[in-house]
Amino acid sequence: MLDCLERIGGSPGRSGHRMAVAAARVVAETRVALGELFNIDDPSRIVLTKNVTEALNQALYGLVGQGDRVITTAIEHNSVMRPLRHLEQKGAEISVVPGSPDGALDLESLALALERPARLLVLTHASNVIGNVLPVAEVACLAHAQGIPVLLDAAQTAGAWPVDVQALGVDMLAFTGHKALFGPTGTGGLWLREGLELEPLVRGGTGSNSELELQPDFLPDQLESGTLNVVGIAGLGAGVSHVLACGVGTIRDHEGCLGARFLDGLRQVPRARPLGPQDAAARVGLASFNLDGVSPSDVGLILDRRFGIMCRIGLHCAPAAHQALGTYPVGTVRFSWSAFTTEGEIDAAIEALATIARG
Amino acid sequence: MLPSRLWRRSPAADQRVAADPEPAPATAACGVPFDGLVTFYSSFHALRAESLLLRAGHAARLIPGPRDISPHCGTALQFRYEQNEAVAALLAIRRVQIEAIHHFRLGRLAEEFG
Repeated sequence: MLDCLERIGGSPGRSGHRMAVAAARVVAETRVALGELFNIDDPSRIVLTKNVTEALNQALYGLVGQGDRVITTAIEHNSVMRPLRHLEQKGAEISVVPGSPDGALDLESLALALERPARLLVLTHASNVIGNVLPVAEVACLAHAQGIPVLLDAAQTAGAWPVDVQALGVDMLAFTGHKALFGPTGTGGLWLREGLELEPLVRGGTGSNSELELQPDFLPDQLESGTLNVVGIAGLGAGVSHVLACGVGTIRDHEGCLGARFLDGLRQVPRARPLGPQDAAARVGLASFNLDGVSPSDVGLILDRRFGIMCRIGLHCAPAAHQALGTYPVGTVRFSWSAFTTEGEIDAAIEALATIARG
Repeated sequence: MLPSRLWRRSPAADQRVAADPEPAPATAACGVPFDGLVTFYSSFHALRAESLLLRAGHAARLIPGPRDISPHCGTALQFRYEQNEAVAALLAIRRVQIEAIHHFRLGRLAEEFG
């Protein structure tokens, strides 16, 4: 990123001079690396956005209109639910498939919801509250049998869990750069399969078709108006290259081991009430829990001030998920770990929680 | 001249910035000028094409798209026209979207100094 700021600094696609070309190269290489990571044949169908929220908004507003029906789940993040509720106010119909108290998706209810025509099914790959991974390939198969395309929110999984758009059979993939892809904040993207057309959220300069005052009709330019965040994209590219070099499988194994260690440790902490599946192999690198008798906000405050351990507390932008889990409106304490987290850090976190619980 | 306090860079940063991105060689090989040009709609595909051609051993160079050839994309790719068929096939196989392939040489001034 520093190199990009100091040496490159051009505007991609806006000129043919060496700095503009170098900037365009940074963007192209990132797109190709993302294509390799997600097993995408044509990287030009990856649109770079400022985060997964923008990617989801582009997909939802670009496809869903008045009178359209959208199916989703009760464990979605507000980055899905808020645009959907807004679309509902504008005349779309939203069907929410309930989640069970252990965070699983009720597949029977899903099958029922799929019996009526819908414009789209949108779901998360893994819950951002408890980390359980949804059976996306199975869901996509059911949806496709009814001719319904699937939009996958891979905010929690991209880089940390295998995300292969062909194996999963999804039609659109939204991802963020700043989590397990190790990019900076302000990066993300949306992939859409060939044949899917979206109405652009934003229109403007693209550096292409400059003689026309109409938006280009080809990707990625059609959905990428305005100067891109080249510095951020350089960081995202470096992060994705790191993930590819390590291998998602290796990262997944590492996070799975840390997950098992954390869940084992949490069972020894007095008054700890873990949520979701207790099998670390079935979840991404995060866990939610509560300590009976201590509010999540107090736990978060003490962890930060006394132990220098930072976690997220509350509803995690997913109120319906907490309602299904029975933790609404107080929420939970949520820990997450990554490829860079060590066993020692997990042990220190458990020790700190035990100290608070013994209070 | 700018007042120096508005713009002061450390000598180390100066050194890094001095290392501009390298421009590509101006001719295909041994001074033979490029005489082929691929034009694109989108700069992403121009970059993809450059990378694929270079990896396949073709001489290639990105240049500002000549406006008399195509108004579409700011960037075009020079190559040796004698490799026209191989280049077209490679780009088609790798699904690079091009506007057209032209038999084209830059004007004398651009060829001499560019």
